[in-house]
Amino acid sequence: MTPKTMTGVMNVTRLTEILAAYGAAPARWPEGERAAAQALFARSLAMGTPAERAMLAEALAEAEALDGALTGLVAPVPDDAMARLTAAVAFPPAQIRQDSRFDLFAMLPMIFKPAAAVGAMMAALGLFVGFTVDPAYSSGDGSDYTVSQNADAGFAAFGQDSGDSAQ
Amino acid sequence: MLRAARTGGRTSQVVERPTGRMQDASDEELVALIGGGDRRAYHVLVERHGRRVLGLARRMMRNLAEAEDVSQDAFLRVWQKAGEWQPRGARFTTWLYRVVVNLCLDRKRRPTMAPIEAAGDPADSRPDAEQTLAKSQQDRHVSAALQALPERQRAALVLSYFEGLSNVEAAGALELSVSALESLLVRARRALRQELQSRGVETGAKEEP
Repeated sequence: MTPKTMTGVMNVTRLTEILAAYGAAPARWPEGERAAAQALFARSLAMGTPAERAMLAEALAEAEALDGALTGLVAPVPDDAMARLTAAVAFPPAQIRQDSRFDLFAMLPMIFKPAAAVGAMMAALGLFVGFTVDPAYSSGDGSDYTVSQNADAGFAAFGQDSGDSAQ
Repeated sequence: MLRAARTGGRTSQVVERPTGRMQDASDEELVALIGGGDRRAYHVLVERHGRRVLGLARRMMRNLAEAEDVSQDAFLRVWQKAGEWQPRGARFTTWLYRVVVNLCLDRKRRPTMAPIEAAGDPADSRPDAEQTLAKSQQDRHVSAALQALPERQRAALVLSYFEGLSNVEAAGALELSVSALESLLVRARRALRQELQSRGVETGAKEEP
């Protein structure tokens, strides 16, 4: 017997499948099929063919017998077991919580966000200086320093010769 | 009163409740609070579901001591993962049962454990296990037959029959389709009936070939 999904039409075959899977208690039957299954069950036992009645009676007897055997195992959890569980998990170790563990990926934004902000500020400052300060510098004698002249001044400040002045 | 709370980089809906009202919070509200480190909410959740978790684990494992270990692991996992849990339309209990079943299956797979099919009658003779699981000779046979089932079949039967989960919930806990769960249940009940018959327990059914 191959169980079907719950979308099919309710018939005696489907009803026996429900009994075989969920047992005899309608409370355990699929909610969406329960009403239809119960109605068919009552109708089939009253007005079904002998073959249908026999099939349902056998399926019901098997399901009830197994349910009855399992009923003996429905025992409550001992109070002391529950007490032990409550005590055991009363103080969960904080160090194993996800948000308290070292998590490099979680830390990446904390590391890179400030660095990115500083970088953006530096770039903005560079652009500001670049656009507002005139790179040409007047020497007072009417001539302007060139970049190479500025470089020579820099070498001279360190007591070196750039090599251009020897020419 | 709902408020958005940042917990570990995640935003979740958290319900602020006075201490006395914590008992009224839904599972999902409690889990959101636990995700923010609320131990009171955690204790309420353990009190609310502890017995069912223990019951499920006890029927999946061989004895109460193992069931208690599994239950502790399950609730510690709740504590650790609460901040990451997203309902996505599923109930918290479905996820919790899935955790318990998977922990039980993991333990059963450990090589140090004796294969349950070879165990025969329950080997655990501690008074507490016998008193609670098998009060009579027939109950012992039924208990042993249940333990002799393949793990997935037993899990399906325990969730559906003993824990009273709907077929949708049980299927969710086992990460199966409803039709697959139903197939598993049919096979589980058939195998259990055969096992009981082999042990001489009357099941009211004709002997199967």
